[in-house]
Amino acid sequence: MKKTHYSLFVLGGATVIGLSALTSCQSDSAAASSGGGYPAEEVAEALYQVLKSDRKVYAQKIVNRLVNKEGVIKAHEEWASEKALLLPAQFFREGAEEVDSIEDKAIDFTYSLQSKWPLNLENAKKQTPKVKEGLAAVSDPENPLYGKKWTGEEEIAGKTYFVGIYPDKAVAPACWECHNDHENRKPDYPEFKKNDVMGGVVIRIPIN
Amino acid sequence: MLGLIRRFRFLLLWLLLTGAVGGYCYYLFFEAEDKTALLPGRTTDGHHLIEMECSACHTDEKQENIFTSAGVTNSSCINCHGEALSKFSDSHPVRKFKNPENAIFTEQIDALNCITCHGEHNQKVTGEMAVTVPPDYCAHCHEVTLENLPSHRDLAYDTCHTAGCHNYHDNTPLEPSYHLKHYGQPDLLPEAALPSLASTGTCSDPWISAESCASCHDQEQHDFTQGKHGMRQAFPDLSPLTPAMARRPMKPEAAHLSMDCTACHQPDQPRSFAAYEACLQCHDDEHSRNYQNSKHHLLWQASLTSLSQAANRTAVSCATCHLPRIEGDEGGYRVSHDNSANLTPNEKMIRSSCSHCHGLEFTVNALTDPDLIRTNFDRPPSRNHPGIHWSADAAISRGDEKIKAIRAYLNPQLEEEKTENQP
Repeated sequence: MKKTHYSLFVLGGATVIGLSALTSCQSDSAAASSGGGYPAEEVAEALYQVLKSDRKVYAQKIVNRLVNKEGVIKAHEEWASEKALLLPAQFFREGAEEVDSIEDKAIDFTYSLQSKWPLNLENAKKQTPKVKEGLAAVSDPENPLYGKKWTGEEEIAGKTYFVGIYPDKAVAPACWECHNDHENRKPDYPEFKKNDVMGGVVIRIPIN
Repeated sequence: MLGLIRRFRFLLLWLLLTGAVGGYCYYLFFEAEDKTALLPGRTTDGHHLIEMECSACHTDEKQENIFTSAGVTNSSCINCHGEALSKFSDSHPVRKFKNPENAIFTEQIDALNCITCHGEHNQKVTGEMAVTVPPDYCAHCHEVTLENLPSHRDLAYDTCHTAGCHNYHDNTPLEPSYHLKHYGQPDLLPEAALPSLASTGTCSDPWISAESCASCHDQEQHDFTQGKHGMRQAFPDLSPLTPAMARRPMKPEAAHLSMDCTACHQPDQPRSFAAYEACLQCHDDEHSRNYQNSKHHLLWQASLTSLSQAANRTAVSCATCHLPRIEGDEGGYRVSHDNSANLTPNEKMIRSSCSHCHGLEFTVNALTDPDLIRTNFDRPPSRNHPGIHWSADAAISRGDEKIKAIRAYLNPQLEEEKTENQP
């Protein structure tokens, strides 16, 4: 049973590899495997589906419902002291940091939410050239990869990583209203509206 | 014989010296009660009371480099400090830096390890909060923010955490939203009063030992071992703290007193004894001595002669500030018995203590004035800390009408000048 399962997984991975060779601008990363032996791109794809779904549920069914529709609680950047909900981006980051704090994961990976138009200046500073390239691709309506995924490889501190960047769309008013009104927003940032790509989910997996 | 001694004089001298050194080492390791000579350097103020419990920090875990870490891992620190760090939203937990995209920052300063910033036994480079890196460390990551915030452009990088504005771990009393929430408050709040305690019952059992107290007051006993007063009791091999061990000035006649529950809660004294007189049995620094000349002490005296509950809630003793009333896990307020929880940096006292009675600006101005702390707040603060005003400026610039109205109310002249200067 386990063998069959594994074979199916490898077969699925091979299919994704084949497809990604057609859709990705950096097909060299597609064959790279994660520490667990699974194709890195396939692991990243699966992670993205989970992250995207959770993010959508939190933004729409928790923040938007309780804050904007029912008005029973607020969402605030300083959520602990304000006894408020975490902002959707903070909820996402807290989860990412929880994952980072797990030692000895079966498959090592990290993820973060980044944007071509960052509100946090430190976030902008730590964007690697590959991440900048990927964010520009998935966020630019003129680019063929707009709203799709971007994959590549990069080396950080002597270690090679698969990098998958997946579009992060505005799913609830809480997202775009906060970004459009934020004091750190620069004059050349776009006015976001529903379904605009506001940034990207950056997933990194160390590869062998 | 003399010829033999002369012939082997160097050998004999070597044997004598070896024996003396060996004997001294044997004495130090196995016989001496005071083993401080074995320490590689003066321990920080936070750790000196447990400096003889080497294994508290030097664990048996993997020692990657005996000269730099000597077995001191993050878990060594978290074993004791983890609970305190979990009580607030730590601004810089280690996990924040684990994502490889932070390499640009961690290559500058390795924020993944506690001992990068908190070294030990190195007095020459130890600064406030036992930080052993140069005080401009914030700039490694936040340089870009400093350069882009109009209010921060002219500030020196080493002032972030030394001017009462930011704390690396517990930044909760200094957040801009907290500033705005309390902007414009008067120096003394009209409703100034401490929260009522959930339990004010008296203890009828004989007060004999920490163990007997802990049978009912386990939370208080646990708190006690988290602070300096009780930290030695967390280690079975260490005796309870005595004032003789302290680095702060203590009264010589109290040097022998043993710090356990009954040191403050004395059976033959009224309950109020533990709130102030118990402290002054031992503490002999200027701040402590000046308490009796302070307005806080006048309020305390007034409460002793009053039968009203209200007077009891406006009295200010040592314990009011240093053992604050905190929200318990099961609702209501209880007295925290961790005397170190809000001590350093002193901004931690803002929320837990000062904010019950004083406005935020008044509090910050007072807590950032070392002279005022020394004299135990014998006069209102004369300094003006700019942080709250910067938060208000930022709020006004993004169109916060409420803050703008408060600013206009507080500074009508300033607002008039602005209006006149407008084209």
